[in-house]
Amino acid sequence: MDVLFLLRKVLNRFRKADFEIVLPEWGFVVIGEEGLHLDFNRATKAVIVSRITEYCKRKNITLDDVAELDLIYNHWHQNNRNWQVYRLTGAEGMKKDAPIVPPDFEFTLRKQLSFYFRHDLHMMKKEDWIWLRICLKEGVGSEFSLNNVVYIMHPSDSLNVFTSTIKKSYKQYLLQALVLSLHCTKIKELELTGRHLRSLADMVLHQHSQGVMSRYRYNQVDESPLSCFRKRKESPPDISDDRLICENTKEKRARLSQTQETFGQNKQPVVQKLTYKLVTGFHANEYVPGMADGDTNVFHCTVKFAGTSVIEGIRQLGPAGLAKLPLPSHLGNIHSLAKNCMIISEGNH
Amino acid sequence: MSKLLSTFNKVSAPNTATVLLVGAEGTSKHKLAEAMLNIDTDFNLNMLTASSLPLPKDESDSRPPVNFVVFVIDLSNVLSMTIVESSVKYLDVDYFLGRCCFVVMKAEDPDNQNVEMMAVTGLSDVYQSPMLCGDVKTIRNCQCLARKLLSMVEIAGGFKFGVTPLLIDATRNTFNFEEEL
Repeated sequence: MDVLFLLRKVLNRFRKADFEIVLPEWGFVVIGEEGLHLDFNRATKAVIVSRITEYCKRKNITLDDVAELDLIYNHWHQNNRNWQVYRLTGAEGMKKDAPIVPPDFEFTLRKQLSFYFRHDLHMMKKEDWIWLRICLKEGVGSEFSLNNVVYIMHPSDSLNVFTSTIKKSYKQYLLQALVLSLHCTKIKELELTGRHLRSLADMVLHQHSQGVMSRYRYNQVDESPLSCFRKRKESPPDISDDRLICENTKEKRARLSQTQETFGQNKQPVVQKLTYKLVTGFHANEYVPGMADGDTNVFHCTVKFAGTSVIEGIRQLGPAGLAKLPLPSHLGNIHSLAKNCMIISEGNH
Repeated sequence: MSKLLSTFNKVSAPNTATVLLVGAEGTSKHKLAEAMLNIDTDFNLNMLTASSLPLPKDESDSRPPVNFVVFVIDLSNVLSMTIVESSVKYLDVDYFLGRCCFVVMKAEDPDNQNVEMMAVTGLSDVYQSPMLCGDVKTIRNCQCLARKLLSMVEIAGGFKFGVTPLLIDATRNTFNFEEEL
């Protein structure tokens, strides 16, 4: 268990095609330098990794450099991880006068975290998003494993934080440290989880410009009415054969326009799960007479929609003829709710 | 009365047959229609697709008389079954003597079936019309189903000398889906 072992592990996670872009970004390895010959087209990944490892050994690589490489990997492959969203509140006036400067933030966070854990903190700033890697050290040699590492993403202009899964015992301390270093008073865990980080950020940061309103965000309103692209998008695809006549083109167009009114024409944010938890009594007593006396007890029920992109799937339900349009409002507004898990309870419970 | 689809109201163009496919959205009617149009036939073929009967009002009266009606049912879509059940009532009696057919899609996948096969066979019994199972997933199966339907359309259009739809209907092998008492 040492630095080289960890380096090899992190390097192996990359794809062979990634190396050409990642290594210059990392900066520790200079391709083409004396003693390092990498032929990306002909060598296998194992050969490339072992060559890089030998080179790094000669250059006396430290744990910090490997940690930076790991952070770069997580930035590149951010969609492999399950992210949890938090919202911070209570930054009274602090944000307006003094925006968070990354070095100050790093310094404060390191200090706050040191009250609770022994840790390693690394930070990277990419296009207005601050990426953090916190390695929480438990026992001897735990800094050389990737088990207790938490990755955090913070868009610098907003009061939201996206983290990977945190161990339950560490959670409150870590969140407390974050709250204090971002000069806020409270942190709330949103009911939003997912793998596609950009979609989660989209849903939270642009909550009120999803669906139809997204065209203003993407600046799709100022097109010239004479442009032919626009005409082609509006009508359903024409059937090439004249011998085939569709009697219901009007209804099809109506369905498409209704779907477009609810969801807009842009890509929907990608979420993998949509859960509805019902915390209500049992109401189907006419089908199951045996449950008649259990009305006061809570009958837990969970409905889960799962897939590669649930919201896109819901949007396709109407045109595919699987659902009657217009969709109920809780499904039609799903892109603007910034929620993945909805709990439905009865008013009087 | 005017809502009923009737085959003898108008005179059709010479050497033409018109087929109407009725089925809910998502039952691959268009794929089937295109497959049928791609097969080489001696006569002209027109296809109409509708998602339910009665058909919307024909303003210009240009709709040709329909020779053959195909009802498409998708076993994984309950809506398709309810649509077909309600649409069948808008068909004139003439169609049930060999000019009508039920096509069942996705019958080979019992895990995803939401419509009881008994309901479909019951429908076929009640209306005394043939029932075909098929799918449009592979090109080969799609063409096979299209050819079966086209052979029935050919007879319904009167293009086969000496054979009428009534003859086929009277000599059809009925499977007697009703249970024996």
